[in-house]
Amino acid sequence: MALVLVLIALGSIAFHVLSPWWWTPIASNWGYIDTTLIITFWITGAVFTILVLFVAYCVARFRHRPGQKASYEPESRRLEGWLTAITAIGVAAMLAPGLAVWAQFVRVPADAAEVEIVAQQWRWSYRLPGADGRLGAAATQFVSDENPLGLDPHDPAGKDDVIVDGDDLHLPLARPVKALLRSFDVVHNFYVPEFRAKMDIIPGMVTYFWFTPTRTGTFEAICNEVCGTNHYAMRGRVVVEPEPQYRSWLDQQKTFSNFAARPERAPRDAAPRRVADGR
Amino acid sequence: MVDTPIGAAGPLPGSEPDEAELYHPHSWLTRYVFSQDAKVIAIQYSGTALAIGLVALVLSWLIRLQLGFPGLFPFLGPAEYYQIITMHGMIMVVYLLTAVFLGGFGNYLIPLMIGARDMVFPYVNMLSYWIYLLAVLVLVASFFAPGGPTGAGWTLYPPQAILSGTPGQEWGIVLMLASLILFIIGFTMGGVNYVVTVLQARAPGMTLMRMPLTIWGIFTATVLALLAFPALFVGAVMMLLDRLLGTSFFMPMIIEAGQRLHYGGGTPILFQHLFWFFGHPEVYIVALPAFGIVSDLISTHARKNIFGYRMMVWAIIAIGGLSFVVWAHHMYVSGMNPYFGFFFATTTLIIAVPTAIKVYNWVLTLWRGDIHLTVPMLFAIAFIVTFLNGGLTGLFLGNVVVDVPLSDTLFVVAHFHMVMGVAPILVIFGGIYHWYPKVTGRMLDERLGLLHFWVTFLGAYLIFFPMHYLGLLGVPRRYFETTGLGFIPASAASLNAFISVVAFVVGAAQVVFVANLIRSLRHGVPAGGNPWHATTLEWQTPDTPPRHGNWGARLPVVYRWPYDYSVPGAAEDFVPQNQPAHAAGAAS
Amino acid sequence: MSLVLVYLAGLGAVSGRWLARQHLAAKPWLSAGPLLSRPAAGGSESAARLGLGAFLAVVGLLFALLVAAYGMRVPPGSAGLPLDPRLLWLTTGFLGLASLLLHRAERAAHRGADEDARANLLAAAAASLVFLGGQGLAWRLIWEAGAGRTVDAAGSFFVLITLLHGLHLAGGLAALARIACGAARTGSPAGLVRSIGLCTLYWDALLVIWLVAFGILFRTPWSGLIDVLCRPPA
Repeated sequence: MALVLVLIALGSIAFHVLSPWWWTPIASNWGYIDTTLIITFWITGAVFTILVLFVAYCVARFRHRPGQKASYEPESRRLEGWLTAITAIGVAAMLAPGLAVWAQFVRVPADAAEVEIVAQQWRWSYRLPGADGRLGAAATQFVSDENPLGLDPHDPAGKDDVIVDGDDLHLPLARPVKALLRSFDVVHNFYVPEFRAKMDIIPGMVTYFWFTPTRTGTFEAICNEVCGTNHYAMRGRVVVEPEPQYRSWLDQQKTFSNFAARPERAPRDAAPRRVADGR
Repeated sequence: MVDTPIGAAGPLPGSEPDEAELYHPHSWLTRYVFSQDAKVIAIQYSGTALAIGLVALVLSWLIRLQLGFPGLFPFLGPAEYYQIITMHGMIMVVYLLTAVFLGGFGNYLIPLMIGARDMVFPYVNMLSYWIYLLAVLVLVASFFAPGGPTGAGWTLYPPQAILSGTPGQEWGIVLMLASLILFIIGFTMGGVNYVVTVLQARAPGMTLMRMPLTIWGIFTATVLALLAFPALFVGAVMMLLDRLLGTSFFMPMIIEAGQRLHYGGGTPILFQHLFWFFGHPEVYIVALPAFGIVSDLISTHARKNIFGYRMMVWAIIAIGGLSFVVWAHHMYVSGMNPYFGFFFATTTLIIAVPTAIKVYNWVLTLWRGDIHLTVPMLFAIAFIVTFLNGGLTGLFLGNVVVDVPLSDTLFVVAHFHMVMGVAPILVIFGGIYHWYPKVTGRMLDERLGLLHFWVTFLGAYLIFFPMHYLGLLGVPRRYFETTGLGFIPASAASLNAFISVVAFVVGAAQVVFVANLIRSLRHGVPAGGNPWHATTLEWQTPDTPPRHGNWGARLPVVYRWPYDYSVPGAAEDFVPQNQPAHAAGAAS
Repeated sequence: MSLVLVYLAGLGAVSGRWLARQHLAAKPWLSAGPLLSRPAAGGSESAARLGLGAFLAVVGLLFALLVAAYGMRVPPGSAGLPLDPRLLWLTTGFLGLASLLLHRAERAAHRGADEDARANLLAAAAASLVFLGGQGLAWRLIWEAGAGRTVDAAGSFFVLITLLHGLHLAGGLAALARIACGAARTGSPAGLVRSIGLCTLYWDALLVIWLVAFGILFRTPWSGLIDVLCRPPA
């Protein structure tokens, strides 16, 4: 048993060091999250190794032999006090950076550009502000075939909003983005592993999170809250590119006003819809 | 509540069996089927839970078939996959773990360990089991209902749980909710019973601080369960009304597949609050009895008193109290007010301190002990390792910002399987190997036990330890398949296949265990009354297995705490709790 | 959820007070020897009372959660229910009356006036049945007015809360009927006092729960207090 315990401790460390499975290369400003995670790994890894090796030592050293008798020691206030204090310090060392980073996570920078991500079973759509730089009002009750994202037709701010339906989302490099999340049907979650950040999307309310893309490339977005039979197939893509390319892409997109004028569009059911016809 | 020396108080109250109070079976049917004896009810509870647990085990094999070898098994489609993971999770958490620890171990051990003749309300206790059985049957019925069981995930989040995009929307979810409601009603009956029994029916001399930690764990967990299950009850009833009567408690305005539904105005997050208000204490409902049992296993088999008994009791109470103010750490990325994150991260990490103290004390109990590596002891040590591992990864997920990338990935799956799957189940096994001789009078076969132990422990570790790293990579949980995702390297598939193979082996080892349980009933070595030389009261019964009423003519009188092992100067290395001071030689 | 947390804190205070008297700081390994830690009197009477108390604590939490859910779900200032509140004031009166009659029955049984106790019991049962009937009528009126499925969910909560409350009271009535029958058969006054005492406690608790629920579902003099406790801070 003692030997096995030593092997478990050392094996776990070896696996940690040698594992080819590690996080994806980061592509956003949330390197702090990775740092906090590394701190947590060091602290918990040390505790795990020490305790398991100690158990292994006890099992080897104090294993029953004829004539052996256990010592009698109900408690030691001093030892327990020290252990409690050390634990509390270790916990604080993980909590403090965690809360500091969380404070940044909840405070969206004032200059963040708003992007709306709309989820429905089982596909993604996006909306970007038009020339006026802000998104118009939207609500589930306005959704129709001509108005797939449910923009308020009476809000002038929404007329020039760019609507990306059934295509990739493009984002400019190094500009903070506030992602506003909306859903028409069930709870979803927008997750790009390389960005680290994610948030649930709750029908009936608008949730948000923010990040700054720091690396160009095409990244996969997945739904990360079980949302029905085809949850696993609800995928999208985010393209991060330098400002000029982004501008030229944006200019090619359709705005809400010319979207509404053209009823014939790409079929809405790009993603598989139901169990029966999904398989 | 005055501590009075025994002589001054005259004859002890309750030391004669109160014939009018004690229930007596009159026929085979009332003795073994509709029995009101807590020991029979305990076996009924455990048997039912193990049976449904085997179903969940088979379901986990199906999950691993799909994850390890996607596409190879055409009978597994996405709808079936989601139904399987939902039922696996729900059965394991509620119908197996909760039922075995409280209904099984609780019923068997509470009266015996505190020196009572039976539960205080035996009739209610019996009803509790039969309602539990009904709940299990309703759950099983959903497998055969049109459309199959629900596939909403064990968290049953609305709105998807009751919409047509989720499998089992017609009957499965209704039966699931009905089954949960029944389970909670049945549990409340049992739970009130356990609490009152611990408070009222302790043998003379059994003060709270002389109770074994097993009883402390089960007692506190029962209190938690009584206070946590109402939240699930409320959530389940409200969702049932949403589904059946068309109310909109949790349902906002919804456009599903181009159709506008008649719902409107509801808040799905409300359900999440109710669910996790139950869901987090539920973790401790499972963990606290495991903590208690493992403390007693370690102490008995290391022939040493549990180190820091008082600290252990306080830690159990502290964990129980704190577990009600951490629920929203399951909801960091749920879209609730993000400022809640500060509060819940802090409370969650604070709870790590009493938990860590418990781990230290288990380990320090081994230090300078006289460790007998019996099968129960092996399981207890394995529990320390897996619980430690799972508890430490909990620090990742509890720390709000680290949780953001990890939530809903395989890291979470690995974490909770390690901490509230593998670890408590190892304790259940350890407890069964430990108390089986008391229940049946015979020992379980040791060689089969060792085989079962090594395969289960090492296998479970091999399954769940590497899985963390897949989660770190970003592999999402509850994915029918991950093919086509570029950020997941091909090597992840081979790791998944490896995990699946190990899972099949571990599952097969449980067959050895069940065979051992059955075989040893007849062919086990006769155990005698106290094979482990343990101090606690259940080993001091006049008969093994204990008869109805447990104690024969006179209730035991408790003279000491439950951990008098290796007392200096005592003749033997254990002094039973009911042994008077003068008989124990020079013992304090 | 603040109402729930306040409720739990209350329970915690009660159990904390109790725990404080249990010598949790004692060092049990130092004090071998018999200790009579149990009050000599006790037995099944206090066990039944304690059991009922524990059950009521759970039931109370159940309704506290419902009221808290109401606070989180129903927008403040939502239109009232399409129901004349005087009907509910009337049913509330009957529930209060039932509770009062049970108290009188308990006192009568205590005196040994069995006839008197039985009459009061019957009257209490009748008053409770009238309450249930009234609640059922209100339930129907709300449902038929279509208010049970509105967007603000106030009517849905009314339906849900009265339903659960009524089921609990119906369970209590079943127990009361058993007690009354048993008392008529055996005529054991001591057992009767005990059972009526338990019923009285149960009815009182259900009355309090109903008053809280009534206060949040309708405008009552005490509604403001409940709003403070269960609405999330604006």
